[in-house]
Amino acid sequence: MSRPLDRLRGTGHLWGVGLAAFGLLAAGTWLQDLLPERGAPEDDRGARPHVRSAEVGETVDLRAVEVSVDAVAGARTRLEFGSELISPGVWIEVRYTATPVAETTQLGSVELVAADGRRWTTVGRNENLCTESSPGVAAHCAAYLEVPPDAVPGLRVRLAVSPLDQRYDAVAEVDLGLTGPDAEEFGTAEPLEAVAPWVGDGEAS
Amino acid sequence: MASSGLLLIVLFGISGLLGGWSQATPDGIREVAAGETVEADPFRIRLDEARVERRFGDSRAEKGTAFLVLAGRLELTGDEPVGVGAMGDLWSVELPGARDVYGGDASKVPPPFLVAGDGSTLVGMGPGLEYDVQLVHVLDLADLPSELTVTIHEHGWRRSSLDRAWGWHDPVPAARVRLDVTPLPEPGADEAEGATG
Repeated sequence: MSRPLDRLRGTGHLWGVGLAAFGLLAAGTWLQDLLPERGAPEDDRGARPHVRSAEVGETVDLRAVEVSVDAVAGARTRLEFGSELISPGVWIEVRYTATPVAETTQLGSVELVAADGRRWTTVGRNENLCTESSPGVAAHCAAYLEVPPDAVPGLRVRLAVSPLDQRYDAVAEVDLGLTGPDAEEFGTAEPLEAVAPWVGDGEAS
Repeated sequence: MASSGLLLIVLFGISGLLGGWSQATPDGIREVAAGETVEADPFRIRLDEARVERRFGDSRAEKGTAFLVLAGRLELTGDEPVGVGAMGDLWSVELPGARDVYGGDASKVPPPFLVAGDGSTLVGMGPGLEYDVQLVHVLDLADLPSELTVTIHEHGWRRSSLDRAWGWHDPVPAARVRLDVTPLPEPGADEAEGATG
């Protein structure tokens, strides 16, 4: 006699659970949409990297390492250990010196930033040829990144220790001092030859 | 059981009403001819031709095989560089028996782009640069197609659910490019050359 009533109770329970679950899901989604995006490094203003501006030849204190951009060059072609890489734009060579302060380390992040905000990192064919060195010992490094010619005037390089996490870290931003005529000159310049990194006071081998 | 089924049907119906079953690409997948440019976020890509070659760069195909070379042009339209993830998912083609130039299975997983001017591998690129690119498969002569269809995928810009970093994710087909394959000019002569080379 009680079986139809039991079945109805069971059905009602199932519907109740289903609707409650759906309601909670909808409410949670609605609430999440109201909240600001969070959780990424750029969302925490206090954690943003400290950008220290400089020019070619100036030493920048990045706390873990002192760095200076020594020279800048450009060409359509670069030679790397026997292979020739031809850019549809121009290759920019940034030669820099990094000297660790307290711990053995190396400078792992090199980015180029154009005046209009476009950004190039060491993905694809771009490279940061650097090595770690001991505290007080200079590592002489070179980075090669290809950019379109229209990005050359006003190009800046950003140097940091970590390519992955720059929260709370210091970042050097160096104006490369390049102009429109430099871009034209790079278009017809002799190929750049990759410079292997070295440590100490000697010259490149 | 009947109630559970009904509940599922209601939930599926509500999902549909909220847009959960709509197409990821509302306009559908475009059919594109060779040489036509495709906008597929974050890339702009054009495939010009597919041809069979006995030689590719410094390499000569082994006897009984040939290179199937797709040639085109690739540009990144966004302001941020992209890495191997988005580039690897940009295109796909089904070629049974295909291998990459190193002998790995490439029947479904596409080989990377090569820069036409110097043969270097392009597994990431920055904004504003346009490359003439090539895509190279190695196939047995018996498996060479007379035509093929390349599917171009576009990505969506969103945060990663793992590290909350912005990036290009969720590749979905945006266009299909049908290409006639230009065969070897003189297969008999080349075959003989390949056998002795």
